[in-house]
Amino acid sequence: MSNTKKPLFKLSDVTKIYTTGAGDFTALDRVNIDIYPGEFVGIIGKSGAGKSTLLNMISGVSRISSGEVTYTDPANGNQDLIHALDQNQLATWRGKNVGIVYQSFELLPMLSLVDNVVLPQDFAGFFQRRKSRKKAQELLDMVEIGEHSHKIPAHISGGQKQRVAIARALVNDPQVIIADEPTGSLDTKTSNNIFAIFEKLVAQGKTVVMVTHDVNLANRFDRVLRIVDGVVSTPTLDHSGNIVASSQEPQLDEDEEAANLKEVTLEPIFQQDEGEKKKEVAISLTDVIKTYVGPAGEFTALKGINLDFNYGDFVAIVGKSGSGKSTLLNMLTGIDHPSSGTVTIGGNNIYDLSESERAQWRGKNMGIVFQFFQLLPTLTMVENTMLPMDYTNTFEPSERYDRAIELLKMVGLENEIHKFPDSLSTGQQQSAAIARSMATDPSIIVADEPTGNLDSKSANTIINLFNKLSADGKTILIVTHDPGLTRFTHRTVTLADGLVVNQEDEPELSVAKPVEPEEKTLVPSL
Amino acid sequence: MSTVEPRPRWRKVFLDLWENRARTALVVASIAVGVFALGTIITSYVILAQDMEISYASSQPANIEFNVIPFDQNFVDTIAKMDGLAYVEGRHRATLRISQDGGASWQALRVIGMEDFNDSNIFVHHTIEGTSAPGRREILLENRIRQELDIAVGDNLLVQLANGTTREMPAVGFVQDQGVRGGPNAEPHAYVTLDTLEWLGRDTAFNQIIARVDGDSNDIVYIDEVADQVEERLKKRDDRIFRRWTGTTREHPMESTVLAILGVLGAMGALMLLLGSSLIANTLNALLAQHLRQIGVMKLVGAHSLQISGMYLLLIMSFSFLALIISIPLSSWGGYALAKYMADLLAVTVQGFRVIPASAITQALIAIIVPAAAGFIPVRSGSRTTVARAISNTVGKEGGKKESRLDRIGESIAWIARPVLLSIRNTFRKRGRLALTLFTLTMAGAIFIAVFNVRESLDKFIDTIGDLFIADVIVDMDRPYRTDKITQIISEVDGVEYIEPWLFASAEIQIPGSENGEALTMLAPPADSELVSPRILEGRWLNQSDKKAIVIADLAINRVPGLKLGDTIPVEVNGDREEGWLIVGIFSFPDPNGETILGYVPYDVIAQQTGLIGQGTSFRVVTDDHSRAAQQIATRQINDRLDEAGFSVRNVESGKEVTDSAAEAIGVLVTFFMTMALLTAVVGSIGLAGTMSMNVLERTREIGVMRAIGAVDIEIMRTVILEGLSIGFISWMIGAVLSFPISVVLLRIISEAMINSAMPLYFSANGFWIWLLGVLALATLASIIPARNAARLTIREVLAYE
Repeated sequence: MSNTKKPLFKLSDVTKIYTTGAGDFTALDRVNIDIYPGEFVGIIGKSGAGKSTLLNMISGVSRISSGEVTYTDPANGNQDLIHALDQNQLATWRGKNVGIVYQSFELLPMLSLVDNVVLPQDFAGFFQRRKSRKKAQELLDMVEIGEHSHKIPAHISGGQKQRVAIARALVNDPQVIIADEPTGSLDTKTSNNIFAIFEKLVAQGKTVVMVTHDVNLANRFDRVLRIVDGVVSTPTLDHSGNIVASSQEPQLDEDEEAANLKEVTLEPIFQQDEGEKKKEVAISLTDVIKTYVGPAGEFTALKGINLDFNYGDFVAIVGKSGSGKSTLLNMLTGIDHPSSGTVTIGGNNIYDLSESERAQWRGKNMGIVFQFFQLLPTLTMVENTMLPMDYTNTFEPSERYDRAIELLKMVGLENEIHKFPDSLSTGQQQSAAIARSMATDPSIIVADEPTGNLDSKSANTIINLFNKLSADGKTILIVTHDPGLTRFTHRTVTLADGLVVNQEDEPELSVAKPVEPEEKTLVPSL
Repeated sequence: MSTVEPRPRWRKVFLDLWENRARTALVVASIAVGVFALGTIITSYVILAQDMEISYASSQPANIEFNVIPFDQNFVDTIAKMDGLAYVEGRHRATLRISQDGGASWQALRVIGMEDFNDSNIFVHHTIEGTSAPGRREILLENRIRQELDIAVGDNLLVQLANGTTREMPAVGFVQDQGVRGGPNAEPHAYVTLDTLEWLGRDTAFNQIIARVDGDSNDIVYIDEVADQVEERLKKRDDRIFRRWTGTTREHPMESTVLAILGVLGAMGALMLLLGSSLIANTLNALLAQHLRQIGVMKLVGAHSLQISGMYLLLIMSFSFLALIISIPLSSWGGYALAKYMADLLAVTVQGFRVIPASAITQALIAIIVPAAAGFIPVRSGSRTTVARAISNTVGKEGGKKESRLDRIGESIAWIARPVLLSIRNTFRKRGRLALTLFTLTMAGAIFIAVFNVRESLDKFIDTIGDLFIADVIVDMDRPYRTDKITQIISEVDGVEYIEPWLFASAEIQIPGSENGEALTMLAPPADSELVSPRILEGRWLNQSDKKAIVIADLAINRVPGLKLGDTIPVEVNGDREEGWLIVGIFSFPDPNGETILGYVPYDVIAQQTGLIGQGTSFRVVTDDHSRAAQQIATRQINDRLDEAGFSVRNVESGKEVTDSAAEAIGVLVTFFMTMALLTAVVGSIGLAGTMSMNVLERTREIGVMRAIGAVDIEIMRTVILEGLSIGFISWMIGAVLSFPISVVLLRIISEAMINSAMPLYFSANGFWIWLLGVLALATLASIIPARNAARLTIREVLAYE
């Protein structure tokens, strides 16, 4: 994009390297971007790609490892080297020039909405009792939540909270609004309303830089930047907003690919006769409705779900944030009660059990893999893997250690068995979480965004592992908002606003295909 | 809106206080407990220091007191004319036995006979009830015995005469007499006119001179100089001096002891405050950790570190202010109540309830400084945290920290189940928090155990006193009686097995180069007596071949310069000529007043010297049943028999009564310390409960994960409770070790305050075991609510954290 104006932000060779227990991790790699006044810039990419890191670099929230971030005040042409400011200077600069909106709203829970909005004025020294409150009220009116201005955040809905966050971001009249997945946890209608507010702000001359993983929004930005594994490119979009080409697409080394696809052996671990169970229904949901009642009113997250999953199925449950995926997962795992309808697993209604009985049942029959791994930090890998066996008293105590070792070997962690989670990479931690989920030899494994925080390489390893488990008769259910993963599952269930809107089988895949090298670059597709 | 609304940031501070009332209560309580304890002691200390002086001075105290052989008013007038004396009064001191239950039980009283109570101008009584001037055939009583004997004004009391008959007298009033020395252990006193004494068949001549100097009555050197002149004058009359005492007008004789004990309690209060501050630091640390995300958001919208620090320091100041609102009134009340209690024991009048400014100011300073200091580091690091760290999802994770051996504790022990391992490792996870919690709980335990050790030592001390009074019944007569007569009568009482006659003699140790001697009470048991077993510090006990041999109390070593075992000391016995007595042993005798030197000498020698062969003034009786109840029965029966036979009995008391009265005073002290130890334990438990709550709160996600992989409620609770128990057990182990030096210091301070010398330290196993059980029970209690909360967490809540 050519532009005769001076850029508001100029990022030159910006690199961000995180030091983790497993070594250095490059989150952003030599990023060069110019952002101009009045632009509506969209940054897209999958979870873990580096989108939020980029926003943090722009807003000075996080320190860069190398490079430069320069801000030029359009009013007077004064330049600030953002990366050179100290914490207090950054706070002053942000208070004056930048409004920030996060997916999780980040409102102060004790303060009323109007006080939340006024707060930046107080810190910036602009606070005047009547004037500031009047302005806050006007902004709340503008985002159409003025009538609730004296409520506290707990008493309004997510969409309303995001409106308050936008009003707060505008209270000091900043030049730039930085928004990190502002519609990420909202339903479609609310998302559109929020997005429209941003469009309105851009029309009023504000600069908006927004991170999103919703590719459908791509056409509504002035400019789209795409991030894959820390590398920023400028994609070309077709008329529907689909990406048809991209500069600087990351390429993986072929040897690395081969290493990712290393075969895993499962034979010693599973005792199940998968042939017999293959076509039986493992999980059945009938007319499942889930309604939450909160101070903000009633909210129906699931609106009548009917689904069956067979033993050996490898199913992807996809949908946007807020579509009801996590609620469905809670119903499947016995974590939360449906408001109505039944959930039967192996022919039994799991909600006939007490909370403790259900915990025991779950421990024995269902392995859960969390997005953030959730390994217990004070236990080593082998101890983490043995823990479910201890809790559910499965396998003889003398066998548990050997079994845990075998499982860890199976996920490629044979050299890490006595390490603590902190000293492993995120991919290794997710592998360990999968090993733990198999500890009690459950017939069902449920994984919530299992690749959500992994780079492409680690994501592929995990998908291969699930393929193998499915082939061995395990029912694998993965919840994801990454449609790219659906290529490797037997079946895809798409949720939107609490309803199943689509169910697709992969007819050519009676057993899920392992990820081939030439397909690798498609894994992180949007 | 007409009301003035504060800035949003101050509003947030207020709402943080108000909306988290449980946490606010915890922090305020932890500040208030320590501040209250210290405030109470300071209030009490100041009230007693001020009021003892005022109260004592208001009684117009004597500066000089001599107990001598009888004299008349003329002699009093002669003494009054001496230079340096402003006022002189003669009194008669005697012992009477009274009964308030028609003669069923008798109580020995020290009775003071005076010419005219209205004319008395020295050691003026403070009237509590009734009159302060008894008329003829009326008796006035010291207030301390009112409750003890359940006597009311107007009650008729029986008074026993020397010939065994009784007279009835009404109690006409209760007074405080600050001339009574010895504090709570002093003999109870009664007051009658001289003509009443005559009616009671007693001598009415004076035997006590009390005087006030006319110069500087607060200069003890000057007072002693005047007292020396009086003593010289008394000796010229060939008076035997049984006792001499001097003191200033301002200082109550027990003041230094009382203030020393309050000082010890104050030190414990300060310690409790210190423990409370670790609790405050822990809570503020957790608060800042919980608020990290909010701090990040505030920084994100433009807040500076100083603005954030200001907000949290205001929050801390608000905690302090709330704690002061509680502690200042409570400590004023508590301090006054404690002062009043101690004052009543000492017959001192306190001036009335008041707030002590020094206490309030000290509390205010402490309540502000201690939490601010405890919160300084967490507030500073919290306010300086980067936005990235504050709003990341890594809050509460310890990523990137260096691994230590404690991280792998239990790894090599194959049989430990993972859930147990989890509890043990969780214990050592937040080491700063663990250290602060352990500090509080350990000190609580160490003090608790030390108090038990001190109690054990004090009990042994009482036993030491008891060793001097081994008999079941001790009979003291008003004058010497033939041993065979008394023995015959006492033997008639059922169960009596053995009777031993003792003699007493008043003597004076002559100090070379000085005109003044040291009063010595000689106790003369048979040389082979088994009814006295003093703790011999040096030398030996008496034997039958001893002639002029004495086993002397250790107090003599302090009083007589250069005195040592093997010395022959010049002693005048009953005013006779000076003779040399060989010190063959030195025994330990804790005399709280430090006034009388005791010495044991052979009965035969004293009997011969005083012409009392075959006689005794005290009879030690052994019965076949040594229980308290049997002793009381035997005491009553012996008393009755002697009365019936017409003997003039001074006092009959059971052996256990002697130690009981000592135990009573010590019991009060031990109760104070135990209260402080329990308060410390409460602070420790609050600290542990707070720590466990914080731990559970921070591990919400992990608990949900544990549930997700099969942990049932009881497993979750067990994990949390086991962690609490681990902390409790570790604190017990360290506390047990620390209790040794604390016991030494505590006992040293107490014994110095009580007996002016060190007591030997004994250890009580009970303290160790009771605290072990106590701390484990407290740990369980402190963990049970967090554990229940943890067990109630659903995985849905866990996922909501994502």
